[in-house]
Amino acid sequence: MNVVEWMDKALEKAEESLKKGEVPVGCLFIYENKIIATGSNTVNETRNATRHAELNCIDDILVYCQENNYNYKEVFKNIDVVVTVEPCIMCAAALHQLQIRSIIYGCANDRFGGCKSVFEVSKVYETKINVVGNVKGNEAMQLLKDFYKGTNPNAPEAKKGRKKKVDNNE
Amino acid sequence: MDTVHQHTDKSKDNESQMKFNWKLQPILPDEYTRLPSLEKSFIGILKDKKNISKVIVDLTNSLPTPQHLKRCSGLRIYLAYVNKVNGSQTNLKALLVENGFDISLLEDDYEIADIPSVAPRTKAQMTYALKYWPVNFHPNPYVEALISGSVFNDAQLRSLETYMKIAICIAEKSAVGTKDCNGSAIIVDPVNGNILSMAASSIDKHPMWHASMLAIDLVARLQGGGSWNLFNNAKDGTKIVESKYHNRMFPYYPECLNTKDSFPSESLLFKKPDQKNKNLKKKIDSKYEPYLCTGYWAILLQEPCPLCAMALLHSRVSRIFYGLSNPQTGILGSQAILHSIPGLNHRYQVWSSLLLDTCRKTLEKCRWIDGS
Ligand SMILES: [Zn+2]
Ligand SMILES: [Zn+2]
Repeated sequence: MNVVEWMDKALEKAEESLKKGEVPVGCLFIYENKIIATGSNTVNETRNATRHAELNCIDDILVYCQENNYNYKEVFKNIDVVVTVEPCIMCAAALHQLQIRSIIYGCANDRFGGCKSVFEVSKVYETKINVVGNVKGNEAMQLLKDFYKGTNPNAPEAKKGRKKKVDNNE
Repeated sequence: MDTVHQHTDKSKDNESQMKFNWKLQPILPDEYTRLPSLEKSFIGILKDKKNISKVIVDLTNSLPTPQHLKRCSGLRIYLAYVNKVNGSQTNLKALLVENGFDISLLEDDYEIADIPSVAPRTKAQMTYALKYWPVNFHPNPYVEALISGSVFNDAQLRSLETYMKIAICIAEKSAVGTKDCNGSAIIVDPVNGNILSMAASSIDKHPMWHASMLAIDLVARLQGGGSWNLFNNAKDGTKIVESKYHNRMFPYYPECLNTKDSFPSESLLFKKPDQKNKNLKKKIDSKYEPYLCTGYWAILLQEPCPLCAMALLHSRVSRIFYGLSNPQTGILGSQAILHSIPGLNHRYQVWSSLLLDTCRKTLEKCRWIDGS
């Protein structure tokens, strides 16, 4: 599969999470040209604001490595991450710590972006990751816009009324 | 980096902080701590003092001063930044004449002087700026209190110390981290002083199990969520421990922590919430169900790495207190000041140096693994 086809798959994951009322972000972890993990945002489901698509994929890879008796450190070093939105500062830090090979993302993340938009996490780490942005960025952005037009069903009542914008992070 | 507070701190220590052998340092955005920048400017010298008001009025329209600067310093009259007139006194005179200003009121030769180019944000910056030129300044009382350390009273400082002592116990007992992140984290509800969760870095078990990440997931568990199966041998997945100081239960990780033996026995921490706070809590509870870590405080042994710092920001904690800075990857003061970056939709306040020396000794004793 090529980069655009991968991004189509990631966008499908993002759409699924939109239906569940989560911020629509989809993510794939690719190893030796195979998708070995797919993930989406599960912040509302877990009541944990850190459960972004990338961190969910990382957990899946750890299980995958355990099941296959692989050294996860070696596997992560050969992982390409395809994600519909630029990873946030937290997720970009996680990906740098794991020294993954590359990040391919859709639209920029103006609120929390950790590759270039808000803070360049790479400045803090010695490892350099190859980053490619704006792959089907408009589609990814449209999903976010659709989400922010609605309201976050899990935010407390008082918050919903006060702000139209959803108090949720990615 | 030069900061304006270094030389004033000692003399300004207020009494309450003298009772502690550590001093909280607020981690403020650069614009509050750096020396105000200076810019070369043309200064005219007034020939006759009696023309001063005429000169001020005449200059107001043609060459307005930046808002933070006063026009005059004695007979010296601020005219313009040198750069604004391409460094040329001739250009400046032409501009003045063009605007109908009578340049014969000033001495023929202008002086070039260093003038503060930004408005001072703090008293310390104002004092510095005044050495160069008279400035307008409106002190922000909260910022001044942050800098002097008077935002917290003794009891609050004692409580923070107690939380940190617990964090130290946890770290000594079981923290395993990498050179990028190690230590322990405690999340508390400042309304009643209750500990909600506590955790030690456990990166040997899972690369994302940094102390703050674990503490956040434990709070999520309290709210019926959570994502990591931290306690596979407990039936419902959660190990609950009863503290000897208080009948409240809170989750912690890892399980090998034995709260009964090793915690400091100061009772301040668990004192009954006073009536005022109780009412406040009721009011808050009726409006909001707990949402993530909104309004909670985090006490961390060490300045968090970008993963942990941003996780705490996503989780909406309101204040972070850490002991030791993390020069390699810390972004709450060392490599960056995350909470001052424009654009983020939530901010917390941050202090460092809580029980600094003990934290340093503790971190040296922590176990480390190679992160890569
Ligand atoms: Zn993220
Ligand atoms: Zn960390």
